[in-house]
This record gives sequence, C-alpha cells and structure tokens, in this order.
Amino acid sequence: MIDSPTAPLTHWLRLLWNQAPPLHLHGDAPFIADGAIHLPACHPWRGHCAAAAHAAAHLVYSPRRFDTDGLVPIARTLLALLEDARTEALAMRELPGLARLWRPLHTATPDDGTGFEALLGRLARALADPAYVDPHPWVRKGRRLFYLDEGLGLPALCTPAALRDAALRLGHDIGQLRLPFNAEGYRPVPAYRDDHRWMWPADQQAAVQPPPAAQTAGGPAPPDPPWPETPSAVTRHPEWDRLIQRLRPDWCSVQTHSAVHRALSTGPADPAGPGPSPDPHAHALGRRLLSPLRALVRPVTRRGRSSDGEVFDLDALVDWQLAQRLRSAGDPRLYRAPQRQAGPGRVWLLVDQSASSATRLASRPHGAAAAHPLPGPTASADDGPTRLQAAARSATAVALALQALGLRCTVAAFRSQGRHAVRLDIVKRLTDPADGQLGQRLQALRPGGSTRLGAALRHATSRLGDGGSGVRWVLLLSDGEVHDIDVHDPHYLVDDARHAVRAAGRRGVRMACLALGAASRPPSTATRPLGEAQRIFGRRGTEALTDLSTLPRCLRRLMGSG
Amino acid sequence: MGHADAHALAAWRLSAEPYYQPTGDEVAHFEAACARRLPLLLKGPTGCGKTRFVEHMAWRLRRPLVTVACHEDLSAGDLVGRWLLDGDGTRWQDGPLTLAARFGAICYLDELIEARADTTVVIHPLTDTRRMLPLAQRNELVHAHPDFQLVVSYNPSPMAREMKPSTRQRFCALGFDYPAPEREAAIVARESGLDIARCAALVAFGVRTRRLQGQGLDEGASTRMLVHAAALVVQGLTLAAAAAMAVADALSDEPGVHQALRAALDASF
Repeated sequence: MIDSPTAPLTHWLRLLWNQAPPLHLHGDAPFIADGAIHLPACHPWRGHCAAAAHAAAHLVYSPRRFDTDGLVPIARTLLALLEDARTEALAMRELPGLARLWRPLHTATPDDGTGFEALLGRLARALADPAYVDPHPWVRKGRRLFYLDEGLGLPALCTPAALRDAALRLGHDIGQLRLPFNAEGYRPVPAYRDDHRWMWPADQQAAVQPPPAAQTAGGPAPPDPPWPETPSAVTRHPEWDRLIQRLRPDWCSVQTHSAVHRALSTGPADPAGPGPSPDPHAHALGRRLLSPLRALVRPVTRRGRSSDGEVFDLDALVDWQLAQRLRSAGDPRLYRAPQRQAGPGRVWLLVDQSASSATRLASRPHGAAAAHPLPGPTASADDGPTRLQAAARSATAVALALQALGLRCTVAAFRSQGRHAVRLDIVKRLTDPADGQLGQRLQALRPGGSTRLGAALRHATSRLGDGGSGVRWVLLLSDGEVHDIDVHDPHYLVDDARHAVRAAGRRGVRMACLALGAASRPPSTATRPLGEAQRIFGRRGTEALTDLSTLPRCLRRLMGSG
Repeated sequence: MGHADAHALAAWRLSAEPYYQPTGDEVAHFEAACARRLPLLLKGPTGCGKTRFVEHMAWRLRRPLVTVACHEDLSAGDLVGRWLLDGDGTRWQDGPLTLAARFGAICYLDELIEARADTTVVIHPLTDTRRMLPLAQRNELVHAHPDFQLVVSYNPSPMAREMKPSTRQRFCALGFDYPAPEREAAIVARESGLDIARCAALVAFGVRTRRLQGQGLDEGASTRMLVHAAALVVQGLTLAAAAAMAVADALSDEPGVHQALRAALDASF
C-alpha cells in the first residue's frame, strides 16, 4: 500500500475527513463512480489534492442523490454548480487552508464573455472567491441567492430543494437570455471539479451511484465474489506491470478470512479448553529448527567490558587491583557489558495453497520409507506428502520453534482467482499460541486456485509494518510457481513478486522462500519453479526442499549461517 | 518516616502541585487502590497525561515519587541496585525500586513493557500479598514500607509488545485516552498560556493526525505535542509553523505520510 502513488492522497483524505475511498489514477478528468474517486494520471500533487479534496467533500457534505425530474440540462448544470460551491464552502469553513488550494484555480473573468459556459465559470468563481468582483447581473444574482452571509462563507442553500429552486430561477434567466448550451460537450470548470455523474442516478440506468458513504481503506468487495464466505477484511494492493514499468495502484484485492475459529472436524470438542498439543513429529522437527532460527534473535552486540553494569567482570577487577598496586591508572571498565538484544521480532509464514500444491513433494523409490510420514486421508507413507501437506508440516514446526525463541509469528495460507480475489486465510494470528490446533488447521487446508504471490507478499509486508529493532521476516512455503487465471504473460507475476520483495527489503522486511519439491540442481524442466523462485527471492533467499528432514539445513542456509 | 528515610527520598518529593485536569473518577480510583496497596497499571497512548496524573497523585497523597523510564537495556540491577567499587572496596547502592520499597514512596515504572522480561519479573514479589523485594546479590530481603505504592504505565498501541499475563494480572488498571477536544484545548491553553481559540485550532489538527493511527502512524499527535506547538506560538511562531515543527515534522519520516501531514497542515490553517 505504501508503494502506491495514491498512498499520500489516501492518508491526506483520512486526515481531513476520516474518509478512505479507493483512488484511481487514470484518464484526463476527475469523476466519482462505483464508490471510488478517479483522478487524472498526470496531474501534479496540488492538482491531485484539489480534485481529491473536492470529490471527498461531496462524500462528506453532499446528499446521497438528487432528483432529476423536471430539470432541463441547463438547470441540472446549475444545480451541480451550486452543489459544488456549497460543499466547497462547507469544506473551507472547516479547513480554511483549502481556499488557498482551490481559489487560484478559478481563472474566469468578465473578459471570457457572456456565453452560458463563460457565465458558469464566472459564477463558479464568484461563489468560491469572495474577493472576486463580477459586474454581470446574473452572476451577482447567483451570489445573492447562494450566500446567507458572504463574509462568513455561510451558504443559504442547505437542502436539495433549496438548491433546485435556485437552479431553476437562474436557469429561467438563462432561458430568457436565449443563451445556447451544448450539454453533451460541457465540462465543469475549473478542471479539478468532477463531472457530477454521481448526482444523476437516472443517467446510470438501474445502477444508483450516489456519492458513496465512507469506505474502508480496502474498498468495496467485488460484486460477485468467487469465495462463498464473507471476508473479514478486504485490502487493496498495487501490482507491478512490467510492460509499463510502473505500479498499478490498488490493483489487487486481498480478502482476509480468519481460519482461527473455523470449526475443524478433527479439532477439540471444547474450544474454551487449552488447545491440543502438536504432534510429536512436529515437536521433534521444531526442536531441530531452534538452532538455525536462533539467528533471528541473536544479540546485536558482543559481550565486553563496561564502566557501568550489573555484574563485575572478574578479570577486569584483577587488572584494576594490579594497576592500583602498581600505582597506575587502571581500566575503569569493571563490569560485564550488557549485551544489546534485538527487539521483539515478527514473522509471517505464508503457505501457498494453490492447486499445484496438490502434487507430491518428491517421488520416492517404491518401498522406500519416508523420513517424516504424514497422517491424512490424501497421502500415504509410500507415495509421500503433497507439497501443501509438506508446507503445513514445515509451517507448524517453524511456528513452534519461533514460539520457543520468543518470536511472534502469523501463519497464513493464500490462493487466488484473478486480481480481485486473492484469498488469505489467517491460520494463526500474531498473538495466538502455536499449539496442536495450528497443525490441524494447516492440515485441513485443501489445494485450489492460483498463486498471485506479489499481492500476498505486499499484504504480509504491510502487516509487519515499519520500524522497531526486531527482525521482520516473511517465509514463503510454496512450490515456487506463480500463476493466475487473468494473467497470460509468464513473466508478469514473477516480475511483480520480485518488485514486492525488493520493496519489502527497502522497508526492512526480509523475505525468503522454501521452494517445495523443486530440485536444487537444474537437470530438467522440473526445475523451472526454483528458477522462478530464485528470480523473485534471489539465490540466497531461495532454498529447495524435497525432504522434510532437510528443513533445518535449508533454514540454516536461508539464515546465512550454514 | 524517620530522619534517614526522609533524607533518602528528599530529592523525590514534589515541591509544587502539578497541574492535572481529571477526565473522570480516576483520582478517586487511584486513592482507593492506594488505600488497599494494590499495584496500578495506567494504560493509554503516548502523551495523554499518565505521568502527569501520577505526579499529581503523589503530590496529593504527599508521597515521594520515584520515576523510572523503562527501556530495553534496563537491567534488574538498574531497578534493585548493585555493588559499586570505591577506594575502600565494594559498597551496595540501592536502585530506585529498592529505595521506594525500603523507605515508602510511589515507584512509577514508565512504559514497563519496554523493559526485558528478566527485568520485569523483579517486581513480581512486590505486587502480591508478600510485598517484599529479595536482593539476592546482597542476601537481603526488603519488606516494603507501608507507604510503598507501585504504579506502572503501558501504551497498548497496535505496534506495542503484549504484556505477559503473569505480569498484567498483578495490577488493577486505569484506562486513559486523549481528552475530548474542548477539554484538551483547555488543557493546552492552561499549559502553554495561549488563547483558547488558537489552542482549539491546534487540537483540531491533532485530532486529525490521530485518524492515521494504524494507517501510516503508530500514534497520532499527543496532548504533549500540542502543548509544545502552543508554546511555540506563544514564542511568536504562526500556528502553521508551530504545528509543522512540533507535530507534522515530528510524527513521521515516511515520505508519503509526511507529505500528507504537511498537506493537511496547509488545509487546516
């Protein structure tokens, strides 16, 4: 989200009115539609601010809809102009600095002429800027009708009915003047103002598009969500488009579902009681991961001597006593220096749940015993676990080890069906304990959907946040193949995920990938996933895992200590 | 309190009444907890008045106030004391917690959660019915003075560490939050000497910044920040310049958030 070019505007609108409508940068004129604000792509920052603040002011101060019955195009246009001026007047009363943003953009003068469109521009300026003097009687009449107290900026037109009445009166005058008006080609001025399409529901056939109520930062859910459950949150993230070499803002919708309280067929009967213990295999594997993962909590300084401390350093005391007897100045650092510890770290374990994770982790010679046989209906010890089962087992063991080391972690599984439906199941929240239920929830995951990796990585990065001295780490457990149903360029999602990894690195979030089932040497086409994973995470950030017994070694390499 | 006790804690006594504007029944609740010697946990965002409240209550109850700002390098020795070396050998020096427990003072551990877990557990024997502090290094057991009162503060922001239940459940809690805008403006005016209208404008901007909590900012502007801004206005700065210096530029270095804060500042004044 932070990488999005609209992020500062989103923050700004939240600061002004606690509004967070979806923002889109495209086209060459602003408008409000589908609950989102659309802004021109190439405006400067202040231009974007002017347009966004005007549109957001409609969301805050405008009625949800206007009645168009009996309004000819001229009256409609005037009603929209008066509503623009009314919302801006209210906004400027609350935030006086907005006047410095909007007023300089009103450039209409009497020299523009007396055509209807010129008069509209002059009236818009007269209503926005008390210092502007316009000699035209119609403009002066509009100003008189509009303001209760011009000096205080108090509009008299407070209701849709009053606005409509004023618009009809001003429109009647235009009719008397026989001024022509091309409603089709008209664009409101100044250019930062939207085209009012939200005001006229009749123009939009059945779909009523009033100025939307306050939206959450995540924006609306897609109209026809492919997942049966209602997500607990929807968050939009940008996506890197390799062809245009820029981020497409708010391109992917990540639907977060909580799997923490989801009923498990094999779960405990008493949810209030303590969770079941993890299976002994996971515990044994977790213990073997303590050593490699300890690098995440390693003290940031070496132990030495200090002039202040808690415990005397005996060698330093002896040296000091010797120096005293030799009548020389001893080293005053008599204490053992405290070791500076890293702050509390946070980790995200991301499990790739896509359909391709249903394939076996590795083909074994017939009759060979699996190092870590997995229980479950879909796998036997003879043909080995699926990649998803291996990922679940690995994630359980890593979560147990992290818990033992005092590091908190979130475990989530993800899959996608196009950019509007990237589903994230939170299997373990940051503060939940890693217990037997975690293993059960992970083992209950079923493969399906595709792998839109960049969105999942950006979501994890945003949740890990900024700052703190502790490590922030994302570990992906995946087959390493990125794919989605609405993407046909094989390099598109790889480049997007690589961009997400690099952006995370700039925010201090490290990322690594355990490529499940990928061979570490490239003898065949089966190694393509590892190649993709290495392109995304780099060689040092990628380890191929073909057997769970090698998990400690893989993690040690990823930690850079092996 | 004997002469030696009074001398040991003389430096920790408050000489004047610290200004505090109650927002509810917190004064009565604090006094009730003190009467029953129950340790207190003050929860609330940064700069909302927790420390000032404790200072006010220490003055009100006429007890010395020993304050420790906790941090991740704070060791158990920093709290209970340590052996020091001098020309004659070693001598023991009480830490602030021992001093307060031995001679009877309010010990205020500010942002306790910032301390390491091995430091936090030192307070456990003082927070239950034992009310004692074992000094293992000195082989001494300090029984807390009847006037000893332990108060800790904790800022439960989304980015903050969780307090362990074994520590949390030893305390009664008092929740704090930023005052309502009118009351906050009055506090800022009282603290800074600025007129109420300009204080209200500063508070309105501060309230806006709190909307970004968890959306780019860990926390919005504190009352303390707004008092700083008002003080700068009293010194001759404009409202916008003071708010930029004391609030917008101080809150965030993240470019997008900072840009939005600056633009909101432009819109507000």
